[in-house]
Amino acid sequence: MAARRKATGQAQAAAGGASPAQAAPAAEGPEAGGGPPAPPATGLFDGYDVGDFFDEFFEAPGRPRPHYRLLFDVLGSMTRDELDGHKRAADAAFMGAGITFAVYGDARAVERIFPFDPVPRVLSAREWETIERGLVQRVTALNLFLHDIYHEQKILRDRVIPRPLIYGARFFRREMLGMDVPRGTYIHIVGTDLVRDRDGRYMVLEDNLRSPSGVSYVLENRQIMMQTFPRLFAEHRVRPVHHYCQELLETLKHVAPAEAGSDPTVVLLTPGLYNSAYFEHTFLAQQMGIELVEGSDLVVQDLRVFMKTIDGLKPIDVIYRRVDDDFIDPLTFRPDSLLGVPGLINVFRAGNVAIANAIGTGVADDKAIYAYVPEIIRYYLKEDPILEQVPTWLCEDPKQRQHVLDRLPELVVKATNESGGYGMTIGPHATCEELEKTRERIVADPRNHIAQPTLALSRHPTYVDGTFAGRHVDLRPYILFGENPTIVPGGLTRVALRAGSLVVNSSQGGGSKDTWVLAE
Amino acid sequence: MLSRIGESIYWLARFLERAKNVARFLDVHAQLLLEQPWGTLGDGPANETFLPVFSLLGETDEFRAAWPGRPADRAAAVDHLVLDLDRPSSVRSIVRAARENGRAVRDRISREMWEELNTFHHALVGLEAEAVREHPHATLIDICRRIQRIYGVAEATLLHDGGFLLFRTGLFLERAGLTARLLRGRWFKLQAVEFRGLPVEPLGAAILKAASAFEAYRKVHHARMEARRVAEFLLFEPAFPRTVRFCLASVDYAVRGLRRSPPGSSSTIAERATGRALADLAYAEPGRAFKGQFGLDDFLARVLDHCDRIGEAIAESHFLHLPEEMLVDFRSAP
Repeated sequence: MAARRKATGQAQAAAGGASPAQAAPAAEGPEAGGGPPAPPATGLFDGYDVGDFFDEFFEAPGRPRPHYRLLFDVLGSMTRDELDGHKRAADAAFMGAGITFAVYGDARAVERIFPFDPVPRVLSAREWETIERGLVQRVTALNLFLHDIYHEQKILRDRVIPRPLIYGARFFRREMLGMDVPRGTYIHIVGTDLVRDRDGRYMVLEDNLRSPSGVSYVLENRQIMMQTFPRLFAEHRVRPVHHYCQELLETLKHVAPAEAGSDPTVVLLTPGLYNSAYFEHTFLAQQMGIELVEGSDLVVQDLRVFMKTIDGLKPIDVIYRRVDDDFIDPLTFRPDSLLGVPGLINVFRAGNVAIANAIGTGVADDKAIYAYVPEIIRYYLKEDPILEQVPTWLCEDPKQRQHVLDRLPELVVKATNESGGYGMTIGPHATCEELEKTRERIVADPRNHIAQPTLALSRHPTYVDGTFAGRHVDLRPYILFGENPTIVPGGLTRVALRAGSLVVNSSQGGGSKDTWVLAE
Repeated sequence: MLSRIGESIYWLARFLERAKNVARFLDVHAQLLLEQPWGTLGDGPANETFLPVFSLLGETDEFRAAWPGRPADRAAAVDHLVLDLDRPSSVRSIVRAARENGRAVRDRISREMWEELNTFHHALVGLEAEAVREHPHATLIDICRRIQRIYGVAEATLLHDGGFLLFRTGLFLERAGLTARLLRGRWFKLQAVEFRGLPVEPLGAAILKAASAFEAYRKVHHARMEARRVAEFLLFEPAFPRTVRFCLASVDYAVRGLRRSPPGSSSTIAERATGRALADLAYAEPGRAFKGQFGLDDFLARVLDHCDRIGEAIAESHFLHLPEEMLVDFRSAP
């Protein structure tokens, strides 16, 4: 499973987490062929194999979990033809609505839909309640951490986190030191990746604190699911997600400068038409009723940022940016960037415009600093973490490094400054040569490598070739950290459609599912 | 509305109007050659029958450079001015450019308009070159019709906001320039015909038809066709939507609408530029257009100059946002 993709072009590289892409590590356990004989199941579930994994849907072969029981009855009573028909209708709805992503490297720029699986993933009210509390706790602590790192740095002085780890982090921005951000908020929009291990425990795999993408699929999946399977919604009490865009706009307006008054001007800054997440940018801008701007549409004058309209220059109060730090202001960061706005950071520093997410938030989703998040939560909140996370060895520490090098074939090694599945070696799946290269990389640059045990990700029944089969899934809820933290119930469930695959990345055979949170 | 969006809509309209005129000029010229065979008026080399169309579009040099030694006949005109996707001046290229501008703003124009534009582009890409060279008329007429349909769809489905005003601005500014070019390209010939005592028709009629103005002209003038009347009609007729005066008045109206400026005042250099151009046409002394050293040619050069200045002024007022000190105000036309 090659999880590396080539970065193609500046525009793509500049978009933070441009496509819903994340490769999750896990061990490929043996498919359980044996076990106790399954009680008779219904219809398309006949012969469904839960395997040696935590199955989201079944607690035992043929026995659905309580919150899946109704779905089991409805889906089990469908014929293959019926389900094929629904699937075709859903695919046509995506294509017709133009909910597509561009595939790079093809001269004709083929547009494809992000494959959609018609079997929804269901979370019980209780499960969700814990996840929600855990995420709010985690994001609150990470936001306090960012404020501290860019101000007093108490957590460093108290030696909870080693100072070199921060100053060596790729996304630590010295420009932000001592600077106050509106309402003290750094991370307005967060996408946290959760996975479940063999015992069904939810674990945080990764925090995405820069500009997480994929939320448009959450909203569109639900729309299309409701059009295609109205009956399912009549029989379940599924908590709605449609208010996301309104909540997002409120979150953005909340950080507008006070002078902007009650109706601040908010814009969405996109790298442009050729970015793979451009559909999402147009979707969100349209849903919020705000302008979708490119860097060249904005201009800085007298410490204010303006958009160029046909009626002249119009001042802007809040920028929801989907352009990375590196590209956002050529006067401060990369001078060759054509996607940003020269002078924008000065305006930000003067407090005349809010930028969401703030600059420099990447220091808190660095993969080495991830290892310290439980400590960060205890340090700032004096609470124990509600959500667990994956044990992580830091290669910088000589003892931990030796441990990692000794057990390389069992572990997942990640480069700390990469995301979206780049720079990752999955021990059990790697060749000897790949392992040797990884070993060399670790020894050459220990700070930028971490290792984690290989997880057996949970599986979920997925409609493949006319039947239901278990496929690995993850979950990315989106947290809006505004006046009151808001999480639309559920999030994006990504599924690795290829048998045995752990890669949920859209460019490598990943798909998505509608994700339901049931009301009490 | 963002300037980038407005500018794309403005150019979308300009390109469509240009494509339509190229198609119509070609079609009308081909018809004229049937009624008045080439050479009867001492027109030029016998195999260069389409030279007048190249010349009035300002494409002669471009054509000579692109196809060395090739005579400017019908097939050459169809290749260079309609089919060749490598020539920016071909109808196919112009429509592709219009569609690219439309694609960049497809979420800001109506779905109906986008689909008309998109299917039109694809239809042109799929044209059979040999068939068009043999019988250009059907294709050329179809191009004109489809563009008119896009205009109709735009009018009926767009939000009539700043974007729509810029659509009108682009369309009428391009049309004003093309009507002036048409007249300028054919005026000496038309005068020569009249001077030699030959009937002003069919050339006069062809010029009017190239501006879709023949029937309108007939409704206004019942007397035998005169060169000067044809020119005056295409320049000054206030009630026909292809005359220079009508077009510039429409540009002026649209540009004023952008800032809701009352008549008689001006808040942008674009409004000042359109106002001056319009004054030059609407308040010209009778006969003045024909009084320069080179007669009407001087006046038409001046009209085209107005069009250029208006284009620049619109870009500066609404698209470029240059700092104030870099703006050039056009005090008065020369």
